[in-house]
Amino acid sequence: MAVLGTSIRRREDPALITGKGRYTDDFSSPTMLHAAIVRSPYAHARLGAIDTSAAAAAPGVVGVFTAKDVEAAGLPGMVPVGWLLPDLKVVAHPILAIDTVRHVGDGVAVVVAEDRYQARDAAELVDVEYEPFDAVTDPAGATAEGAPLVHADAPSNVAFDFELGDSESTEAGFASATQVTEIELRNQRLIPHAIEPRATIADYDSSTGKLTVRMTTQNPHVHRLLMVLASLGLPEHKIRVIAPEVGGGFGSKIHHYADEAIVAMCSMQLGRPVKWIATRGETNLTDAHGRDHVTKAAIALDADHKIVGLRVDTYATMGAYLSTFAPSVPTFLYATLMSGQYDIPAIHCHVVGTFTHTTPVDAYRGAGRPEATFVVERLMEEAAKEAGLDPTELRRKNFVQPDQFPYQTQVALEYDSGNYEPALDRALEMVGYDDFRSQQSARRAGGGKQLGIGFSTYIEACGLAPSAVAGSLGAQAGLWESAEVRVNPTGTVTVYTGSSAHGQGHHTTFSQIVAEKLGIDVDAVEVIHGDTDAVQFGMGTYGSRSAAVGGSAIWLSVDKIIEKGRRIAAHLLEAAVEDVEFADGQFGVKGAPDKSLGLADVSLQAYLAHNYPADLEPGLVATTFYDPANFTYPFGAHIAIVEVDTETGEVELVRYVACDDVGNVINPMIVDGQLHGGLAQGIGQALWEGAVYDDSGQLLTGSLMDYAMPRAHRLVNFELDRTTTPCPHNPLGVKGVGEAGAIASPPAVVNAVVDALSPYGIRNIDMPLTPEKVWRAIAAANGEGSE
Amino acid sequence: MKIQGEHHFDAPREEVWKALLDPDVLGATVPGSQGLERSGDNEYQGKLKIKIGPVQGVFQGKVKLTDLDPPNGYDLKIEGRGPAGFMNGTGKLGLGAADSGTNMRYDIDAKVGGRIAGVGQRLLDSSAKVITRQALEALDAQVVARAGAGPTDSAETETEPVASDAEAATQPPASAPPTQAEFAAGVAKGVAAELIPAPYRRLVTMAAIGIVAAIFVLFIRECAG
Repeated sequence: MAVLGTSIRRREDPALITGKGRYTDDFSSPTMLHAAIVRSPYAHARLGAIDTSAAAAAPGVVGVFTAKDVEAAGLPGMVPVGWLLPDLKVVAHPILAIDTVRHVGDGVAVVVAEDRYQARDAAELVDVEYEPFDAVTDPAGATAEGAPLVHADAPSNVAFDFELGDSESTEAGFASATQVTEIELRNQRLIPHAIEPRATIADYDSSTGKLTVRMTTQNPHVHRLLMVLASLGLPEHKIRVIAPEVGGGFGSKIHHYADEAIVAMCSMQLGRPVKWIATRGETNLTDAHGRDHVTKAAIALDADHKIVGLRVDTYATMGAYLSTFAPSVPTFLYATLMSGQYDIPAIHCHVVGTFTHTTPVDAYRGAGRPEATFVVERLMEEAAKEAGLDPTELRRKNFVQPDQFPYQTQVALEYDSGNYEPALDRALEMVGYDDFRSQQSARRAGGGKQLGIGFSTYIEACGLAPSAVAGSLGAQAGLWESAEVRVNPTGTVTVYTGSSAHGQGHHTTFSQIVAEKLGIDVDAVEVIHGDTDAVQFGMGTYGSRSAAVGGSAIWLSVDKIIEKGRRIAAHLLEAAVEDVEFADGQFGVKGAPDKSLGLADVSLQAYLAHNYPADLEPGLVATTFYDPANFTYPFGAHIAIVEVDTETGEVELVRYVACDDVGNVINPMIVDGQLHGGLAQGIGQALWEGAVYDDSGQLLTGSLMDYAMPRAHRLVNFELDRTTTPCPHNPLGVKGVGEAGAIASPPAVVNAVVDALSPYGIRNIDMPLTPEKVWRAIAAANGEGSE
Repeated sequence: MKIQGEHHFDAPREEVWKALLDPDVLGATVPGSQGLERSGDNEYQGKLKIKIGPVQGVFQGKVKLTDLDPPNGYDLKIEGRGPAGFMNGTGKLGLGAADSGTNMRYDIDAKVGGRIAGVGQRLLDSSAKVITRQALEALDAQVVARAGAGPTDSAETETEPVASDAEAATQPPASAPPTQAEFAAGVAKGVAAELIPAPYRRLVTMAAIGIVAAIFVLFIRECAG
C-alpha cells in the first residue's frame, strides 16, 4: 500500500500528548545549578557600576558574573550575525552588555544559584547604575536628524540601504501608466510566543574539556558553529548541542542568543551543569521579534489594467542589534517576492534597515514573505477598487500564465512552476462568490453588521535554499540539508537528518518517505535528529524546508541504499547487477521470478559480509548532502469573509476558504495542520497581535494580558482544498507548507475588512484591526462624510 | 505618564507648605510608603511598596526639591527603582491662596520602565491617580489636624528657615497610610470611574451591593441548613 500521500497519524504524538516528551526543562541532575539573567529596565542607558555583593551573599548563590567576567574568562563573548549584505553595518553585540544597554531586556549580569527561585530572588539584588538616555523605537523615525543613536558607529541608525529591481524602468512604467495607486502600510511588530519558552542547560566537563548544551533550537549544528566562531570559541568537536523535544519555534529558536552563551560560560566557570529557563516575560523581551515595517508602495496600471510598474519603499528595523539572520529577512526574503503571482515588467524595491532601541527583529514564520505578500495583495485590492474592477478580475488579468514558466521575475527569482487560475477558481467556487456579493448588497441596503470579502492570491519562495543563490545573496552558509540512512542488519532503518523538528512531524513524514521507497512498514523506520554528536552536520528546520530539502536528501540516500542493495543482492543471487531490480521491498532478478531476496536478507548479509568480492564494501549506509536547484514556489488563493459591526468596530471572521498548491503531499493531515497553524498566526496578526513600545522604549505589551494571541474560539473552521503542481526540481515534487498560512492570510483578512467598509470610503486600517481602530476609522469617515 | 491636577486644602498656605516639606507627614500619607527620611538639603529618601496589577515590589525612592519659593511652590525630581522597574519624574508643585484655604496644582511628567511598565501598564494610570488621590486625602486630614492643633504656629514659623521649621514642627497626629486593601478598593473604584459612564455608576454600585447581599443571604441559609 502506498504510504506517501496518506494521512497516517503522527508517530511522535503519543509521547507528546501523554506527558512523556522530554523538553529541556525536564532534564535535571543532582549537581545542577540555575541561572537568572539580570536585564536592563532601560531601553538606552550608559551602564555604570554593577554591585553584585548583595546578590553574591544571598542564600544559595554560587556565582554572579558580568561582562568583566566574560572578558576575564577569555571568551570571544560576541553574538554573531550570520547573513551579510553589501555595506551592512555590522555592530558589536556582546553577550553581556559592556558599557551601554540598548533595549529593555539587554542582559547585564547573571546570577547562578542552587535553585531557580534563589537565582531569581538574588538577581533582584544586583545593583546596577544606569544613566538613562532618550531612545528611538520607530523604524522610520530612527533615521531622523537628531534621533538618539543606537550605535555610535552606525550614523543615522542605518544598518543597511538595500535595493532590488530597476528604478529606471520602474519610473518609466509609472510615467506611462493610466492609473497609479499608492498605499502606506504598517506591518506591525509581532512577538513569536512559542508555548515552550527558550531554555538552555549547559554542562561543562573540565576533565574532558567537553561542553554539552541542551537547548531549544531549530538548528543545533548551526548553533554549535556560531558558538565556536563567535561566542564561546571552544573547539567544535568539544561542543555537543542537543535539541530535546522543542515546543514550537516559528523562527524564534533559529537564532543564536546571548543567553545560551552566558549559561555555557557559567557552567565553564563553576564546573557544574547550569540551567536557564526564560520566564514568559523574558521571552517577550528577548525572543527575536518579527515584522515591524513601515512602507510606502505604489502600483501602476496601463489602460488595459496590466501592471506596468511596482515601487516599494520600506523602513524595516533590526532592533538594537543584528540577530542571526535578521539582515536577510526584509531584503532577500522580502524584495524578491514583490512580483507575487503577477507578470510585472518593472519593479523597484528599496529597503532601509534601521537600528532602534528595541528587541532585535529576525525571522518569524514567513520571514519577509508575509510582509511582501501584504504589500502586493493590499495594492492589488486597492488598485482594483480604483479601477472599478472586481478584485479577482485585476488579478486574473495579471497572473503569470502557465506557458510562461519558468518565469524570471524582475526581483531575482525564477519561478519554476505554477498554475494560478485553477486555485483561484476553486476557492471562488468553494466560497460561492456570486451569492456572496448579493448577500453583501442586501446587508449594505439594510444597515447593521456589514459583510466584506478579501482575497490574497499569494506566492512564496521556500525550501531554503539553493546554496549558490543563498551565497550570492549574502548568506554565510549554503542551505543544503543532509540525511544519512542506515539499514540495520535485520532490515529496519534509522534515518539521521540534519533537519531538527520542533513540532512539524518529521518522524512521520520522513518515515513515510523511507517506507514508501523501501517497501517496508512505517514502524520499521526510526528518525534521529537534533543531536550534533549523533547526526552529521545539518542546517535545521526553518523556511519551510524540511520536506523539500531534508526529505529530498533522505530520498536520494534511499536511492543509494537501493543501488548498494542491488550490488549485494547480485552477489548473493549470483546474478549480474544490471539484472537485479528492486520493487515492493524485494530484490529480484529479471526473468527469474523465483530468485529474490527481501531487504532484511540483503541487509543482514551486508553486515555479515564474510565472502564479499574485493570491490564490494560491507555495510548498508548512505549519506546525502542535498542542495536544491531552486527555491520551491507554493501558491494559492485565500479568501476571508468578515462581518464588521459598524457600531462597535468588532470584526468577526465568518469564513476562511483557501485553495493551496504545495505540490505533492506526503501526509495530508500534517499539511492541513501546518496550514491551520499558519492561518491562526496570520489571522492573529491581522486582527489581534501587536507589540507596542512607548517613546522611551518600554515594551508595553510585556505579557499575555496585553499581547492578544489568537484563540480557537475566535477562529473558524478553515475550508481547505488543494491543486497539485509538483515541484519540478526535487525528487519528491514537494513544496513547503509551514509558512504558507501565515504568509497568505493577513492581506485576505484586511482586504475583507476594508471591503466591508468601502461604502465609508475607508481605504486602509493598520493591523491589528482591533475594534477601537475600526471604530475610529468609521467614526472619522462618518465625521467627514456628514460635514 | 502625566500626573497632574489640583487639590483644595481647607488650611492656610503656610500650613500646607510646611506639611509638604515634612517627611513624617509625607511618609504617612502616601499609600504603601514605608517611611520617608531627610537625606540632605531638600532631599528625601524612602521606600514605597507598590502593587499594580500583578506586579508588586518595593521601590527605593529619592525626592529632590529645587527652586523652593515658600510658600508658593517648588520643582521636584523623583527617582524610584526596584526589582519591578523604575520611575523617574520631574515636575512642579504650586500653592495659591484660595477663598477659604489653599489651592495646590501639581504637574509631574513621569517615565516608568521595567516590569511595571511591561506588565502593569494598563493599570498604571488608574493606579497613579488613586495613589495621588489617596495621598492627597490623607494629606488633607494631616493639614487640617495640624492647623487645628496649633493655629498660632503658622504665624510664628513663617519667617523661619523651611527645613528646620519642618523638623521643629509638632509631631503630626498619628496616621497610617491606606492599607493594601483600601488601595485595591481605590483602584477598582478608579477603574470603574473611567470605564463606566457616570449615569450608570450608581446602578453598577447598587448591583454590586445587591450581589453581595444575595451571597450573604445564601451564606446564612447554608449555615442555618
